[in-house]
Amino acid sequence: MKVKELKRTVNVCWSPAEHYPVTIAAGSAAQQVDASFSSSSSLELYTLNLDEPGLDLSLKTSFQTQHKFQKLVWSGAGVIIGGCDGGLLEFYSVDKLLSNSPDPLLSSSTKHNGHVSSLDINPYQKNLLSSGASESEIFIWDLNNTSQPMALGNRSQPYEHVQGLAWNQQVQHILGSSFASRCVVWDLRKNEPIMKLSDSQSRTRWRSLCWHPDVATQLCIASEDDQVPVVQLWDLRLASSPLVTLEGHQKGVMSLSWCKQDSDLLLSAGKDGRVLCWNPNNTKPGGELLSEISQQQQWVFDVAWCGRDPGLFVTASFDQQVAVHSLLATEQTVSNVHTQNNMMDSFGGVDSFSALPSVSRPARPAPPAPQLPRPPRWLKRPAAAKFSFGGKLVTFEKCPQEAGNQKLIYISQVVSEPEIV
Amino acid sequence: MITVLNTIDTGHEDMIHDAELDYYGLRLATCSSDNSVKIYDIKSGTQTLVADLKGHFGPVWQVAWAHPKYGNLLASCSYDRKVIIWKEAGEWTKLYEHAGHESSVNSIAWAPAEYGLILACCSSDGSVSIITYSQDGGNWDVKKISGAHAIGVNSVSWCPAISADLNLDPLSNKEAPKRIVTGGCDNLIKIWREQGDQWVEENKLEMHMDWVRDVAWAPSLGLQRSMIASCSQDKRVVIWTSDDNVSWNPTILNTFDDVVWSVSWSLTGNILAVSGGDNKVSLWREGADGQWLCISEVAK
Repeated sequence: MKVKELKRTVNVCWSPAEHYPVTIAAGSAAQQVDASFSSSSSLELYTLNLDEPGLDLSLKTSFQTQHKFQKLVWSGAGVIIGGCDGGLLEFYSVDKLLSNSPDPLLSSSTKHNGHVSSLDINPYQKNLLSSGASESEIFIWDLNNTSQPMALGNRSQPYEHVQGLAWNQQVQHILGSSFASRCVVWDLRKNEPIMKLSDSQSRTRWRSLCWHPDVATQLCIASEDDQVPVVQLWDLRLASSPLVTLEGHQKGVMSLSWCKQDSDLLLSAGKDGRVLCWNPNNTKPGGELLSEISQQQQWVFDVAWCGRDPGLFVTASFDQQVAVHSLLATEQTVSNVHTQNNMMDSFGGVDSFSALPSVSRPARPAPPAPQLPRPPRWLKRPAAAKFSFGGKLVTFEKCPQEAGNQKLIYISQVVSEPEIV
Repeated sequence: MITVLNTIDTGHEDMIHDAELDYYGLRLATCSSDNSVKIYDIKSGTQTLVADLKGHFGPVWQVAWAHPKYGNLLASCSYDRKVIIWKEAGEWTKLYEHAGHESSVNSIAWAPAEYGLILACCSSDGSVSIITYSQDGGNWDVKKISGAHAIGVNSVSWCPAISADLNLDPLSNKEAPKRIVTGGCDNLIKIWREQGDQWVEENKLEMHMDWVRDVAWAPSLGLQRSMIASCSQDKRVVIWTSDDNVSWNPTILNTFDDVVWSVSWSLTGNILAVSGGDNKVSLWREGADGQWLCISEVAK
């Protein structure tokens, strides 16, 4: 269900898990114009004001920027990095943005050629950034010193645009990169590619990639080709063919996001305007589709799980629509009121709207909201302790090793003041 | 001092999510991700399975015994969006099924017996429902607090009947309003008061920086003070105290090493059991100086 929205065509990213409160950075999307043909661009920060009703996010700060953005990432080191056209990378200070400082731009660089559309922050070293743009060029940046990035190995031939970059979630010196025709995995210690994945069976055109949150050798890659709109799970140990191909999108897949709190949940978003939730760990043919979460008119070009709040994710689409969804919550009436209000305004306000002849439609029972067949991991309480009469304490815990498959419960007597007894 | 009296192999086929002894400590109800609820007779160190209740179509999150003056009643809530009230009449059967929620029902709590047979239920759909058994009609009346906590309610607990409005004179105390406390995915704790035939938000307590996993209103000791314990994904346990049930003061009991999943007060209200994701259970008591002390850590 949609819980918050932003009516802009922007590139977005979540604040990192350690940042509180949960914040979304939104930068005007490059190569896009809105209805007013406005050429101005901005970088804005919004907090997720869940305690307030309604769909509006709360704007914390807005900064007019010189350039529009292809991609945004937010590092735990307090830096927001924007990839722009013309090989430009911009580094913004989060603190300065939040304090409305006149000059939050820390530095910028034009080392790249073409538009910088892939960026990723190392999950282990917050100051380590990878960036990719045209001509197979990938740089590794130290956010503490952005003057001298390291070029990654020999550029992968033939020269192609870097579609996606993703650091391994388990091993900090492994970086995955996707090009339209192949996916290359790099070992930064050797500064060279260690694996090249390409599916000779199908005419895929790779775009987004992401690593398994728990299994170091597995990754998913998405194809943006409308003829082959698939997501594939690969294991580097069996690099001749994918473990499973997830088939469900009707048009190219633009973006992937794998849930860190529950690796049985993978989101994919595509040009068919749909956002699908998969269990990629199920390798049955075609993949296990858990739920279709939303459907929009336009291409959904980005989807991302929130790092801090499990079950929340953001989608961005080209119809001026950023939406924060909750995986479990169901449709509220709020959104209906919102569209009603919008419509009333368009027809001259409440008075004239209510003067219109009423339209009655037979009441329909609301269809049951889609629900995942299994609950996500974060709902499963693993342990508890409960008091009852006479100082008895009932406890159970997460699968103790020594108990094997046994599911045990302990009843204990608590004597708080033994000297009295 | 803690001594293990019984170790029960429940035979559940998946994770256990809750276990509760009945009023007399003679029966244990358990529930699990295997969709079942089990009831055991507990006698002098042994236990016998008396019922294996199948009626839910998803993991069962919590079980709650009603006060024995209403008979042998057990409520259970599940990911399948339902609350079932089970009754023992010779055999255990389904007495009532409450299907008023649109998402996982995460927690249930019976009201103090003085109020009648009333159950509060809270759900990932963001709402809290309060279902009341009417003796005359023999049916259940449902009231709902919609949008109680954005993106989900994780826990609910009742204010004890006798401690309501401590400053009122004892004669009017009978008219003291019912209150519940809820904790949710918006990191907030909220206190709700019954007013006429509505439940209104009386207070919003902000302190936690992540999901509130459990809330527990302390049983009244006849003290001139109300207490609520809350625990969160942020690894902290907070004790909230109030002299009038209207303004609340937080004290951080402790910051633990892992997510804290449950808090439970002893029936005398002076000891708090805290249980975390690292399988550690600790017991806490307030010293004379108002400081909270860990009096025991349960290690098996």
